Amino acid sequence: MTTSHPIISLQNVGKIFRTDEIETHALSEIQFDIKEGEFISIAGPSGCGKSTLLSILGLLDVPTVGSYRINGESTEDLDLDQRALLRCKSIGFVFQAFNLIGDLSVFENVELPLTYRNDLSREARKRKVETALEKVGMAHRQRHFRGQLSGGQQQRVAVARALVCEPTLLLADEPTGNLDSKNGEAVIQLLNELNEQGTTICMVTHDTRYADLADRVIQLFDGKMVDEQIPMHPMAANQ
Amino acid sequence: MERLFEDIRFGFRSLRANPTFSFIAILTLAMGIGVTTAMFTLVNSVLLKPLPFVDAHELVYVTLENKKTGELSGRTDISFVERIEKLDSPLQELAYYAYNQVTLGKGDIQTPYTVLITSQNFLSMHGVKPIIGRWYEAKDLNTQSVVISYNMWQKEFAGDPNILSRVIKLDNRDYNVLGVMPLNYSSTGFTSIEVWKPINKLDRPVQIVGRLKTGLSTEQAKQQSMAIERIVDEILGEKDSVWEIKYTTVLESIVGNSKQSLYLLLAAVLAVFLIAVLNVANLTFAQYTNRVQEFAVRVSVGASRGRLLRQLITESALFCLIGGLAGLLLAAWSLEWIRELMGSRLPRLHEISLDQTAVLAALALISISALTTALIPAYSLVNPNKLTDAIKQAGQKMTGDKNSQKVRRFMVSSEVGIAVVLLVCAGLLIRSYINLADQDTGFNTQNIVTGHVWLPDNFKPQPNRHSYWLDLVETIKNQPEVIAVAASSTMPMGMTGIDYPVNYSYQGAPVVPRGEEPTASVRSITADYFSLLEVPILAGREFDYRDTANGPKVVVINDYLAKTIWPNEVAIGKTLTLPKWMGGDHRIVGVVGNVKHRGLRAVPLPEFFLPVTQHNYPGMSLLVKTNSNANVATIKSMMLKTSIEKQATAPMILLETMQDLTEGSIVGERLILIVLSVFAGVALLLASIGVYGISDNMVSQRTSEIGIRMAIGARPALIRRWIVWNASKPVIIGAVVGVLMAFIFGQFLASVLYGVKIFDPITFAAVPLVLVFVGIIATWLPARRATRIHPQQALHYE
Repeated sequence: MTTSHPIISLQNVGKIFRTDEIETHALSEIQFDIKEGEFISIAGPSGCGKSTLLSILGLLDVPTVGSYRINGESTEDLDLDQRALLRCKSIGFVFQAFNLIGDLSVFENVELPLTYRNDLSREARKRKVETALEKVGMAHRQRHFRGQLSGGQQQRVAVARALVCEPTLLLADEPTGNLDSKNGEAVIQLLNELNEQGTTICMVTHDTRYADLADRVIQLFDGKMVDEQIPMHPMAANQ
Repeated sequence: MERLFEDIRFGFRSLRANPTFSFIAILTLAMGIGVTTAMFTLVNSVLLKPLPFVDAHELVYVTLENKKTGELSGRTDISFVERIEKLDSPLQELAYYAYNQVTLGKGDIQTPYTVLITSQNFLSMHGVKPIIGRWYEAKDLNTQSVVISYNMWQKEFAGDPNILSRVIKLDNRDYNVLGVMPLNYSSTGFTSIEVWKPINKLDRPVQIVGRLKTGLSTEQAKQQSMAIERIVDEILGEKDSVWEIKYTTVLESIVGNSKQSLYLLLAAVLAVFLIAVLNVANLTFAQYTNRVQEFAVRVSVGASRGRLLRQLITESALFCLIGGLAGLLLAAWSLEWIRELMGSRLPRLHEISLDQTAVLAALALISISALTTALIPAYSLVNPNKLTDAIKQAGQKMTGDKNSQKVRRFMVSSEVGIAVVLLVCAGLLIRSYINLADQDTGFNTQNIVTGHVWLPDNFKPQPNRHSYWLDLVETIKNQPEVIAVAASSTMPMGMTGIDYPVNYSYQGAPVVPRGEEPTASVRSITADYFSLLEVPILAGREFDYRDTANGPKVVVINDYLAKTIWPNEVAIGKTLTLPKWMGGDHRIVGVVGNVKHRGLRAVPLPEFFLPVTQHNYPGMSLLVKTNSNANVATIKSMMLKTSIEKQATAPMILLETMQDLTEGSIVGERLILIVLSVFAGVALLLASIGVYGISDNMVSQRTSEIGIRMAIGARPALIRRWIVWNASKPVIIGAVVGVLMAFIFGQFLASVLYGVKIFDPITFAAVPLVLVFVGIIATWLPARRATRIHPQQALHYE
């Protein structure tokens, strides 16, 4: 489902954390593109910089060096508000810990990103939320609260929330990390289906079973890209 | 006991581990407990504690009250007392007293002191024995004997143990000292009395004090007095039943005027205490929320809920105790401050001390604080279901359930509501005070220095008394920087002098029953009195050289009296008939504007003025108009020196500027305003801390939620608005409820307000707006902090 058009472009990106005495190079010389409709995985051991990279991709953090472009536009000069708006419209997040807000119902959790856009009527928001919930098979639980859902269900709702703005890029940070294998597989299956429907996905995982399901796997080690491979897709191999 | 020590040890460790919380909680409680203890001590010492006399509850003031008008009679002289004490009455004993002034002579120096001239049984009836010597008795009546105060003994005689064998000079006469009263002894509620002297003759009214028969209340005494009331009318020569006897306990009489103000301030300070406790409970809530995981672990290893509660109460008791002890120090300091602030304006001030009752009150406040600050949050958080959840979510931060949030928001709303009530009350008092200060006195108060002179009983000026006053006026007038001088029997804006109502009549006056005659206040004045004060002369003239002692009797009346008697006629030339002892018929020669004689709050009353040449008193107030650049201290010194030169035993006292006197007439209102404003300020500060606490805690509790919101596109401004709005909601609710409460509680202020409606729209609109504004500022800092949280950090926050 990929095209040749890169929507994400990282050029020599580095991230340095400084404290009084120590300078830590969390990322250095990261350079890759993500094309529209692509499903890539970022893999590597704990502490290799996966989450930092995802934060930069998600505009939650800024690189210390290098350039990061989304749809060809540089992100370096964006202020906090512009970054928030771009995040709201172009990027969806799925977290390991689901991160649903306990005080809000399923519907309200999914609706939340839309409320930050100020460009949709209540009716339009409702339609989009219902569509997103239907995509993840959670439309029937929209009045429920976090505490009434299983882990797998919570993650489905989190995916719906990430999708509701129809983002250019869906970022998933260890989406199966808090799930048992059955629910983990279901979530990966859901991400695959979304990718097949055209959603660009970037997933951080340390589970090679799931990493290898992507179109491309970027291996990180000590903050550097050490490998980039196109896995032998099991389904493709079978075909 | 061992477990208790363990809890205390752990409590200290918790306090050390959370220094910010500990500091704020202890400071807040110190303020709350301190001011409450101080105000309770004040109320207890002034209003509740029995007076330091033997069987003080039996001591009553006996007054004659006009049945129709409620006015008190000024005809209670010594002969009256002597006659009624022979009657069968509900009193065991009767005594009387009057105020006077003496000068104590030491070499060339004469120092004025206030003396209480009393019946020979006055001191023995009160039952407080001198620390040296004895009370005076009947046998001392015609001897030159006095009892002196502890203060005079120390100050003037350096505590001489042989004082009883010394002869002291009072008004230039030799006196024996019979005894020295104990430190701070006061028979009138104030400690300004330094000398007690027995008398059995006095040509002016006296105050009557009696001891009720054992077991009788004032009401029962009143019922038993009907028979003697008839005889009272006979004694006073009344044909009709005009007077009734009124018994007022000495305590009520001394402190009655202060009661409303003190209870008002006590209510205000209890409100401050409530805010302080709610505030600390709120802070403790935040602390406990952060410790739910710890509580869960304790329960999981076998701690019962009761055991956990005991530990939390012990921890709370620790910081409440530290706060309470600091509060006691603050209370001691506050009482000193109140003593200085009130001066002699509050009775029994010398009796105020941090006594056993005050310490017990502080301990009670500490206990209430400890239980409240521990149990409110513990009730909400320390329950088995919640702790089980905490165990399940081990490793994750508890976000605080909705009920806990509701309780905390309710507490903040309550704090804000109470603060609104206090601020509205303070606001109303400020507006009232401004109105009072803006009142037109009816005369010019600028560049006038005043003083008062009492002529001693044994001084008979020659050729007569009015010549003495005129001579004193003339001498001062000739001094440098002096523009004009006048004298009056009563000082405008002051409480000094002779001021009493006098019956009057006039041609064509309607016939009224005895006791319902119209009255007006009398002032004896010198010429130039009105021009010096710039009181407008509306018709006729003021007194001058024509108004001699033997000339036609003349009177000047004020506009109020003129309009009361002759609303549509010219008063000049008409006759005002005064009692015979005051000279009978007087021709009205002038009508002058009304003045607020008894202070800025006073309303104009009917008044008439007599020339000092035709009617005067042994005490007169001097008014000295000076150049605008004259040095007030120099003028005061000159006035004192001149008076002493004229008569050494009649030094001028109470030297003050008219401006100070005028401002002093509303000093009571100002003091209440200051104290209540301090309380309202503390309430505002505490409520702000409470609002800050809840918004700060909201940010801490919702750090990960803030991260999620930011991750899915919330802009920083939106996050700030969200935090501010959520934290401001309880403020707005509290402000609205507070305004409603202020409508109810404002009624209690009605009698102390001047020119302000209880429902003053400006105050009622401004106060909640200010509080909401302060509330928003208090939420702003945590809200700003929230937007500075790094989303990545927030998302991994545990």
